[in-house]
Amino acid sequence: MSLGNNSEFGFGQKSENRFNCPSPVISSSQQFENYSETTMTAESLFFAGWDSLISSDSNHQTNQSSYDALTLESQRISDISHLVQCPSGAGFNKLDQRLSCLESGSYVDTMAPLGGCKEANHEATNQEESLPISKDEIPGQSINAKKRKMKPEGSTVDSRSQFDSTQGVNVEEQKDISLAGKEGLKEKDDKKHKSEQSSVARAQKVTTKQAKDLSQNSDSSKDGYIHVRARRGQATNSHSLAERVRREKISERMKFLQDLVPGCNKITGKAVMLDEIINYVQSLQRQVEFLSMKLATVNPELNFDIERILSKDILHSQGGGSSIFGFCQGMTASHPHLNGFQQRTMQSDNSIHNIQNSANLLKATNMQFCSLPQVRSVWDNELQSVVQMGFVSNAPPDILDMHGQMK
Amino acid sequence: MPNIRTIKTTQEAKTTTFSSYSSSFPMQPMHLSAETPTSLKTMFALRFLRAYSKINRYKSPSCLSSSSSSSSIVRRCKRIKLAAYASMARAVGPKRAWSRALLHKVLHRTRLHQSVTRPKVSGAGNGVAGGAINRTDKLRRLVPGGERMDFCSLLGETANYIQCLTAQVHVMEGIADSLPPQAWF
Repeated sequence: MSLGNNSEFGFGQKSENRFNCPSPVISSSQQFENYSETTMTAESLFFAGWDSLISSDSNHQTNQSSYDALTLESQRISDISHLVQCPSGAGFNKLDQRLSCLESGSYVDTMAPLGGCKEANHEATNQEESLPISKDEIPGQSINAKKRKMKPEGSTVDSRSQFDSTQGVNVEEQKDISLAGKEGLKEKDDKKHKSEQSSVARAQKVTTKQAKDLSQNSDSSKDGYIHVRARRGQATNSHSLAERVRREKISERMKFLQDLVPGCNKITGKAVMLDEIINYVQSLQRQVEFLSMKLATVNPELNFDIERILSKDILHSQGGGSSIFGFCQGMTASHPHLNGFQQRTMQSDNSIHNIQNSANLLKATNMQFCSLPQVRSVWDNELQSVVQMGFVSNAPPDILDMHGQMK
Repeated sequence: MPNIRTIKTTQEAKTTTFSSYSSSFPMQPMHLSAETPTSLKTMFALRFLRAYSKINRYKSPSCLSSSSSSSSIVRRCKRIKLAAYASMARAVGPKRAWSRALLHKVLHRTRLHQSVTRPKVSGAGNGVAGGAINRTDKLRRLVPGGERMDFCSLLGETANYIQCLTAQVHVMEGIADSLPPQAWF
């Protein structure tokens, strides 16, 4: 109930504005307004429900209906108000049975008969047919309302008598109500709670919808939260999350490039970094060009050993030991072993656990190398450096993969 | 001394022809594609030296007389550079986008230098406008296959490309230094 009132609160103001419109029942409407203001704020919410339901109806009818709603509310406050409910129309009798469950207080049950709105509209049309009567009643109602305001308990007889004169069936019911006491009051509550029902049902609808939306939103946000966590103050939108991940990736790769490009450690600007990277790549490409030119000028008649140069290359990259070999004639004879060794090193890159085995195999296979202990140490160093570089170079792709998974 | 060497080179010729074919066709399994820089160096050195010796042998019978002419040297230079790039791309393997693009360029005889030399021309014009976009465009043209990359992957490919280029330069310098002094004209 409280939820429904909250959701319908905005309509209450609308209904008040509506009451200000020129209508034959201005005085009564004003009185109703006053009543609503004085009694409960929740009642204005019921006004809203009726307004939304019977938007096509005249102000008079809306006033009536709202008044009914008010009476419904007032029933809870005081039993007198039930008598006032009667003039609202004969159509309420039909709805009594259906809406009897309303007073039970379980709003879940009220959720089911959403057709109550239509019924309420039918009632409104029925009320249109009984417009003259209701008009006649209105002053009485207003009086009753006034009386209720003034003395809520004592006005029961007056309102009864007035309503008896105007309506027949309802009067009987009213009598029953007065006799039956609270039970009958409850029944009539149900009658006029139709409006309540509809409004409440709608309010519940709205609330449930809101709840569903909230749950959905929470689910969607949960989906986002699963992969990427936004810190406090950061946007949780999916786009912003993806953008943040992308930016982190870019910054990380920039850092990696910073380590690669010499003289780029102290540069912080991205544009300058890019310039440096471009210059470095260009210089490297030019170096390759220059070196290929240099190699092209080598006398093509001269044939040389690949393996010797290869070993020299590796040793050269190692930063020393190139002078050890010089022209080692045994190297060329042992080139199949060398090839095997190189393949073994490559395999050791893939499986780092086989380092010692490959090293032993190297020692076993290359007998020429065994004659030179320095050479063997150099090769071992090479192997170790291979393994180390394998670790170093394997680290960044792992990081990238992690980011891909994060994405 | 030269006699022994020629004998050995004829011995090598068979292996080099086979290896050069294997370098032109991807016969080697994937796990041999080097990931670490040092093994990448050895891989590249192997492939490049085989290709280089092949180029030398190919040139030696036909261009005995005109081997010293500038045009033949330029042609050799182009061939060696192509061989260097191709062997590097082979050594890296098809994992990287830039190696794939580079190999495609080499195999399909598209101008490899187009991507390298164009930024010099366009860089002067675009440098005035300034901005990271032009710089990224420059970088895109420098890194093979970078035209179709987003910025994030472009940076990753650039990092790998720089690593491989550095290794390449290292190896080629070593080869050039290790050549005997009588090899030079």
